[in-house]
Amino acid sequence: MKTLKLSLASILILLFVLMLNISLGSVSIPLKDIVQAIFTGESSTSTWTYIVLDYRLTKAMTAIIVGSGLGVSGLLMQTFFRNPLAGPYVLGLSSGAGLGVALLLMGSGLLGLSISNSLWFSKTAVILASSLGSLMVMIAVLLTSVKIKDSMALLIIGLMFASLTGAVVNLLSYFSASDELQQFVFWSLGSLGDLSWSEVSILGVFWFLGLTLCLFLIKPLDALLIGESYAKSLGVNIKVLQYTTIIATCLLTGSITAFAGPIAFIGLAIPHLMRLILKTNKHIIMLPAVCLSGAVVMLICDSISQLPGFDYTIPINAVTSLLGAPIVIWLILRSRQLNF
Amino acid sequence: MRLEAQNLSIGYDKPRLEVVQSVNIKIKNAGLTAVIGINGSGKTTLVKNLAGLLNAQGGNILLYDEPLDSYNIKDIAKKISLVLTKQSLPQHLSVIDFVALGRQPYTNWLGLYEYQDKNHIIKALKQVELYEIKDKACSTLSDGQLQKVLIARAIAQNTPIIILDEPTSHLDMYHKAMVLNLLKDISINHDKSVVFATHEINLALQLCDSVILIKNKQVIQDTPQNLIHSGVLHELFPQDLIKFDEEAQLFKLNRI
Repeated sequence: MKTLKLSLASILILLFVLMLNISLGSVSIPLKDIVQAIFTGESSTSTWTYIVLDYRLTKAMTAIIVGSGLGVSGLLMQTFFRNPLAGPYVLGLSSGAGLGVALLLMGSGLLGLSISNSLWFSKTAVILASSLGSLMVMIAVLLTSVKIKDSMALLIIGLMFASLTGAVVNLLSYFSASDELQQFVFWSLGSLGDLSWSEVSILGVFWFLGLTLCLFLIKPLDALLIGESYAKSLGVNIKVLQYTTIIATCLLTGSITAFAGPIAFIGLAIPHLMRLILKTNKHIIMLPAVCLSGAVVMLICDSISQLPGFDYTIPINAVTSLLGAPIVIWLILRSRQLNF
Repeated sequence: MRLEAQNLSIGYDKPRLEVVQSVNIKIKNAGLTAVIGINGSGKTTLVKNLAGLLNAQGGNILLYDEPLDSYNIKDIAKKISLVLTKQSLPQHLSVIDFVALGRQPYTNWLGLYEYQDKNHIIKALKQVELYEIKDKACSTLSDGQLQKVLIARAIAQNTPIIILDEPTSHLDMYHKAMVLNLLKDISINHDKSVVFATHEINLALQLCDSVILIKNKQVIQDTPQNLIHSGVLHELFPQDLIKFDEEAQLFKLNRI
């Protein structure tokens, strides 16, 4: 009964935040027209319909996918590595994506090629480069995980991948022209607003696949909470669990980073936030909770990044960290410890 | 025969280290079996091998007369449950949630508990007398309570064999006796074969039906009485500090 009430309340909060997010923006549109546009596809002016349907709604959908996907990835990583510091980035996935994009944007500049002639081409190329970068790291991680059984060692190898790719990116940045460097910096600040409906649908497919895989992880991850040996003695196949977790994380983080850039903080913090609020570790509760709260937090961050009264939007990555880091610090100070 | 080791040699690969050779053990029926030996003799390695957590270097382990590696991991989980030494547990994991994990081999793919599972969980909690604190977080329990919770999880798993690694470490004298009595009670009243590695040789000799002694890379299994009278216990430890008193059937400190 309590669970039912809580779920209902969180869905209502999500809907409320979603409406709030769509109503805010540099052009003020009456709520009536927004609702009308969403449900009938028409409103008082065609510009408003366009803004609501093709800009704000796609952005809100992206925010929901990004927030829930990264939150869930963080939850998987923290339980899998039994480490409160783990997040979707620890496997080096976003660094891989970063390297791919850096090679494309800055590497092509160094070679004297220009990819920014066509907007469509450069956007698609960035998505492809980012996916390829994540994929490469994912394959490297999978190959290492065949050899290495210890999840802590895998975590450290992930961090090493991140340092390695970071160093290459630094080198590229150092030798790049300012234009290309700026493009890369923009990508690395993250963005929710650049996607068309077809891109959101592609992202949505990966998100759906990733979350579906997670459903099968609920039971074995619960067993893993008390340690690998116990999980094994309860009938969990650790290797299968390892592969499934890595693949689910890659599907979620890889696709999200490809389309929205590396979004900081959400993956690490949302699971901690939910554990501290709900006081549970059970994944059957945590998974939907993290999914919903990730979406809500991302929508709030996005609303803040484009507060009315300001002509320009603040980069989403800055908002997530500026808002999130103090909250996590406060939560840790309050509970005096952080667990997985 | 519930569990049997035939000519087993155990140890570690990379670097290859042979801990004990030609282990022959039989766990026939319900009863309490202690694995004793000095530090580093291979007690934990042996129980982990018996539980299927480590692979043997040679020989066979038979579970209900079939080779252990012919079972799939889920079927082993319905025959053998495991209790390991104390370790860090998630902060918010409650006693009942921890004990409930013991039902995992029986639940569906989503891990949902049915009426029968809940019955087993509650029965296990009542058996270790912790039902009243079932909603407390494991991280807030005393060592004695935590050990009982760990055992309750194994009881909830409802397997004919329970293997424990040093269930009495971290406990005071009273709680050591309490835990071993609890294990004895489970073995008698619930038809369980309980095998545990322990340093509590005095208690083990008093309570167990069978003792597995690891000494100089060799394994001897016998009843406590036979072991006591065979004289092997005299040479278990260097005799400068403690000695086995055959009359009292206990290890005692040498008087200085």
